[in-house]
Amino acid sequence: MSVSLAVTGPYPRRPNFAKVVSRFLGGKVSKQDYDRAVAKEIEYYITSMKDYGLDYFTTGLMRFDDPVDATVSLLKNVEKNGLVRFYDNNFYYRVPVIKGKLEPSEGEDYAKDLETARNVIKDLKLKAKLKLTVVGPLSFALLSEDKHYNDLKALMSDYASAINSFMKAEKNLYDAVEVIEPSFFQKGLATKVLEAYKEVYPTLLEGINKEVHLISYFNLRADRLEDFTSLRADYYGFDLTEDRKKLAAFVYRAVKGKGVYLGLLDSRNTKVEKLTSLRRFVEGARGVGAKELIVGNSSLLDLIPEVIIHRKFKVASGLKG
Amino acid sequence: MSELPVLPTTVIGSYPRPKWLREAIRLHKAGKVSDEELTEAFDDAVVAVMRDQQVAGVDIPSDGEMRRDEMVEYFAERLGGFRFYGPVRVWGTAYYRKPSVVGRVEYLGPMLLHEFKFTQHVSYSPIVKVPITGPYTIAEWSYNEYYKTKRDLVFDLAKVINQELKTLVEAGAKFIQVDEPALPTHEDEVEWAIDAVNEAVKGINVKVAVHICYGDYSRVLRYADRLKVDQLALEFANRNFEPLKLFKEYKYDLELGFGVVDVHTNKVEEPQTVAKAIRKALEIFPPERLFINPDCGLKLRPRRVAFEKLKVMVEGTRTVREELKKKGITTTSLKPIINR
Repeated sequence: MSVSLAVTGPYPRRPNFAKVVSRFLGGKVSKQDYDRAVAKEIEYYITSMKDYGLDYFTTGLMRFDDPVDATVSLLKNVEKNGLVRFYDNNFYYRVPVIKGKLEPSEGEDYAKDLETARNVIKDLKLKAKLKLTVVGPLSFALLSEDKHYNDLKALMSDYASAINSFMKAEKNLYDAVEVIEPSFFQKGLATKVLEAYKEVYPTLLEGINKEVHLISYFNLRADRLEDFTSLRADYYGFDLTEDRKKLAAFVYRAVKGKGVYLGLLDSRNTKVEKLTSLRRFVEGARGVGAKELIVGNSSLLDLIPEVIIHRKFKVASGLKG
Repeated sequence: MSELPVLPTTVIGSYPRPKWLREAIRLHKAGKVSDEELTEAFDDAVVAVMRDQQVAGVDIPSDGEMRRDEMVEYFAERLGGFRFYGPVRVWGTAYYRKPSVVGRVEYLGPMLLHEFKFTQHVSYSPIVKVPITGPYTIAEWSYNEYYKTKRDLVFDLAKVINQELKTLVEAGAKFIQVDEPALPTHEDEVEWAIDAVNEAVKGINVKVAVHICYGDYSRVLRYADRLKVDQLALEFANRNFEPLKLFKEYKYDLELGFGVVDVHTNKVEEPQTVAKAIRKALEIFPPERLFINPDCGLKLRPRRVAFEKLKVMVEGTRTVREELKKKGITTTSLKPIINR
């Protein structure tokens, strides 16, 4: 069984590009020029990572401040409010405030970026697949401020339908769907919320005949692994860095006969992993019968300097040799 | 000297750098401005932002952190054991050079002494606030490649911060603010993180505040009785003052530095909004335990907006002061209320 390599979620915006973003937001750059700058940044990111033999790319979410922002761009009746810490990181996102029924927007900017990324991959003659990144219904609901529903299940359900509409409409632009669910293993999640989520989740992927990667970040709990792997996905993703490494054995057991995404490249520390250590985890998963294996970053790549991302993926590329 | 008008107005620390200072920094990086010329530009900038605060009517100013690019970076550059790999984003288009700890943390000498002495020298007020980043936040906002545990790193940092604070107090600092925005980040670490803050302020018998923002305050308030500082200076305006109720719930009875203007928007608040918020805080806090400040440092706002926000903060405060005056309450004290 070979190991695939993947990037999950956003790739860091370079400071020079961020200046263009600021100027665009300040009305000093036209939309057309801004779109061109976004496309150039996507091209830069994919090109700069191509030598590591990646099997999956995302668009890098260059246009968006964070994954939540990207997802908000696909919705109507949502406004962005104050800055709030993104889980336990020194990284902040603008809270989506839900002011009315969640409905799909055109999502044309996101579609444009998917098209750009797809073309770059094609032009570079890479065999890599392109993933559409969306925040999962549970995390979106918990990261938002609800001023309309007062019913988490209804909110998640409308959200799932709206995102599903975009997925269907733009199905020719991507090869796989990446559902990011950092809240799934969060402490204190009520059982009834999890049960509601399990009922809503199929709506998100209804009629989508694409590879599905269900990715968790930051937290991991052995007692919720069964619930997680009961959801529809081709790959189940886990952050296996820091103290979560000790849960690896539980993860292996849970993914027996399934595809697994091992988030082994720590996106929250500059210490570069050793190839021997990565191999040990890969062998561990293989040993218990994981069907397919992908190795990649554990969470947002925005959380480490770009130079370190390259060092980490360079080491990880050794897994393919 | 230790008497202040009731509801003293102050800042959290940072203030927008004048455009010409940013240009001088750029030219210095390009080798076109000497170290001496850059120092002069920093000094001039401190005078300029001090004047802004004076015109706005702020009672306790700071130097606007003109010399500091960023609150963790600045200290990591001056301590042994750190290195930098490049910028990382904090939100939107804001970046900082997040340092990595690659060796044992070492105190190499005073970090804020010159800054404090100059500020004191040019200040219109006898009392200036000296903000310093706390040990937990430096550790949390750095990558740890060296220490076995984060706790070991934090306590080593607490020792060097304590050394720095002692130097500042010896030089005459009267109001220290330990910036610990990261303190509530990890629920299971708050208890020992508070011990580390206490270690950092041990023996510092001047007014000491801790600044926290954008986190779950209840995680800290749970242990507030063991936190050996006089004041918590917090962000409130960004969340419509909702966390105020927590202070009643946790029976917090020390001082509050009350954040009345949002630093993440260019929209300037109305003085009446500020006054209304202060009245709300006065339902929980006695007037002599309330200081008034912006939510956080103002450095990311355009200078004009930052200035207007300070003016509005002062104006709103003065309205409430007049109301308190009618009740005979006019002053408060800078004396520390906790013995460290």
